[in-house]
Amino acid sequence: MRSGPTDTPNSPYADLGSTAFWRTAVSDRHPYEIEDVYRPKYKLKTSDSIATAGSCFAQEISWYLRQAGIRVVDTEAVPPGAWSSDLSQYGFGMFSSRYGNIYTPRELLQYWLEAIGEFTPAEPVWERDGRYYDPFRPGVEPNGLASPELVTESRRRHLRRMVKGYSNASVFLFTFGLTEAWEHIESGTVYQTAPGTIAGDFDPEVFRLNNLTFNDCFDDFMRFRASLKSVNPNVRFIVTVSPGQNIVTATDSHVLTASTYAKAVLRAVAGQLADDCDDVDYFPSYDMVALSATRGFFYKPNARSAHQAGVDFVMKAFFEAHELDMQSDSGGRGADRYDEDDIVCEEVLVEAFA
Amino acid sequence: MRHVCVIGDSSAAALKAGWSEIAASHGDTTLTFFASPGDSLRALELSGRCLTTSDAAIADRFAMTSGGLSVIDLDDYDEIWIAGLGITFASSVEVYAGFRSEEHANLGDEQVLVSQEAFDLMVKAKVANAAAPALAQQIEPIVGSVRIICRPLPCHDIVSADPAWAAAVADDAPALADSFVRAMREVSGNAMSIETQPAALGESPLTTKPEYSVDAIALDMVSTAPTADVWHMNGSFGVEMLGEMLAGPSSPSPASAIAPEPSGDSLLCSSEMLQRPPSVVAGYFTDVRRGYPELRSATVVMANVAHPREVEIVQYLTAAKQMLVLWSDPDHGEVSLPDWCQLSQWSPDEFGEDPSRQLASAIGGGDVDIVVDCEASSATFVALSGLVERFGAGYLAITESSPVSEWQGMAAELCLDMLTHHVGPRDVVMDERHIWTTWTPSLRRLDVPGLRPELIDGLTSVEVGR
Repeated sequence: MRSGPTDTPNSPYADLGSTAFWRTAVSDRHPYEIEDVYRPKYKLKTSDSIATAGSCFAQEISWYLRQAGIRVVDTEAVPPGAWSSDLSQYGFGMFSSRYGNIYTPRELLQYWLEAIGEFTPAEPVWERDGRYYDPFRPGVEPNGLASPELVTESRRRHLRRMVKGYSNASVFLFTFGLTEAWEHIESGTVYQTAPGTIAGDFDPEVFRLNNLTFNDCFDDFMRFRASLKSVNPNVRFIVTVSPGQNIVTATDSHVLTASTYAKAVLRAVAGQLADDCDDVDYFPSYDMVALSATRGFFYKPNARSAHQAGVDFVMKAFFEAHELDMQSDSGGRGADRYDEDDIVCEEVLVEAFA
Repeated sequence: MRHVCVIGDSSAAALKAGWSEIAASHGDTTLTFFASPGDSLRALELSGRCLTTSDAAIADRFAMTSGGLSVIDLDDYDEIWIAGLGITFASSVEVYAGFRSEEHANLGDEQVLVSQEAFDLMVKAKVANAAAPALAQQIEPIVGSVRIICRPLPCHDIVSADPAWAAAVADDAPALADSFVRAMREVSGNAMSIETQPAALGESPLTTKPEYSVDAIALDMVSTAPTADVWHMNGSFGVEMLGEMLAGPSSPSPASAIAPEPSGDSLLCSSEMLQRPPSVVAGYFTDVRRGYPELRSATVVMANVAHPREVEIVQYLTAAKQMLVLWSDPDHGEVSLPDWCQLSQWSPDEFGEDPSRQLASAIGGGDVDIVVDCEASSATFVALSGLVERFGAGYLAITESSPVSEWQGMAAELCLDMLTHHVGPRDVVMDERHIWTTWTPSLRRLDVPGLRPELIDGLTSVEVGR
């Protein structure tokens, strides 16, 4: 029955709260006052142990989690009293193992499958100037190691620790970063950086760009999830998308459209994972930093990466949603303060080619 | 007379015991010990020219070990020695227990395998993070270079009790000793010299002969069997160590007389920026933005506002909700700001002797967090510098310059002078100082650590000079 002219119109929007409307939720608010963006499926507890991996932004999340007293799995932790920020240049203190940034879900899947013995990568050692590098984490030893054997042995120990850490984690947190991956044509092995960036040589007959699609990313993460749950059935997942835009694209597109595509794909994948899987939660860090709602407020002058204040803002929302104490913010940091300059991003190295 | 103060942890006990044996033969020297176990001396505080503690237990330990003194008056001594306080060759072995470097002979099986640089960084961090370097750096301006005595190498018996030590001594002792020595050299700088035990006392590069831990003595003066305490040594060890120390320099090196250079945390940009959108301009000043979570509730006072854009830019810079605009020129149009920003306007009738008092009064007794001078003239400089000092506020200067006149350059120099000499870093929001000015021909190029090189390249005004 149609309502009469004096009745309140009957509309599915009539009873929605203020967060459903852009004007009341966003336009009328200072960027810092946009609230209730994140509604976690489950609440983290301080007793949780979280394994982390992903792009540069995941390093920052890891730091905040540690500051909040949440146990972040660290399978290659430095000894007590031996921490200095210089060690982040060697992959320490960034993630749950010294793998550096894992930008794509394909890298994550491949890394895990190799760790559990179900994948053997092609070209596992790269060389430059007489030093040898692990192509799946070339940045963690910026000057390489003395021999291919040392690289192989170092990686063997690293993977063994990673499996142990992931197997005992209660939560796995992954930040999607990129869709573009450099692939060994014959085997499908993907690498963390393009050959020739840190080490190795780029041969177009051997390597190619693979710009992963929605289905690629979704399927890769689902395979990783299934495999990890086979050894750690109770693990839950938090996925995020890095608000950092692409530094470079190897596609034919302008970097702006390439980055927009990548973020759209990864945001959609993260949303789909959260919709399809009860044990996957989506934390909208990308939404809180990158979109017009915050007017670019949280980006550095390069308009590419989130400013520390933006990360503070995002993580404050994270901890409030989980009813945890953040404990620290940018104004109250002590000697071991997080410094955004400590964030290591192998992708930045390609800027040298700009 | 040579008066030596020994500040230390339990490793000072062996020195004390040794001193008891040789003091009579060193009649021209006094050694006064201030010792407390473990890491407790991190809590020492420098008060004037004295080291004090508010911890009653440490004060009691000091009184017990010094003969009744609970405060260390640094002027009473010719030399300061620090015994232990975390400086120990064991640092490299503690890293070795979990990590092996590519250069080690024994690569183990479980340890994380890393480059030598990464390994050395961990050892260096352990040395740098120890209590002794921080204490030495704290008192160096008063006493000059401090001598730090490494904790004794453990008794060689440790190799039968600890697999990591066994491997270290058997396979990698020289390499690990080298790692520690490299770390010491890098950390010590001018504030300290680090003294190691005489080689003759060692069973290996990493251990002490067992005879020196027989009847080992710790700070609690309880003797223990050597197998129970491999970390403390006896009076004989103390005699040998003191022999080395007393033969060393008898006067400290002079304290550094070099005053710290002004940090020059200044920002410089061109007036062209005023033509750009506020968000773009604000984006260049990342160090200002770094602070804006706190500045959201800040009160910002702006003076000499000549263009609405200036207010908008500062609002973007600070995200401040409270902005008080002084001496705004109404001819330059309305200032449009977001709804969440409250804008007030005020102009003084005249400047008195202390115009900052007028300004403070106008603010109504509230606090001021940042003072922004949009034209940096000499007249307003006097008033605003008073306001900065009164409130300990941060200071941001904008000099609109078209055309640039000489007095503007002078005013900008005055601002810089105030920033670098009169406003201490602690008085500035977020411990950083910022000046935002324009092309001023009388200024030399400024160091702008907060501004990235690629941005500098885009600014025509930075490469200015006489």
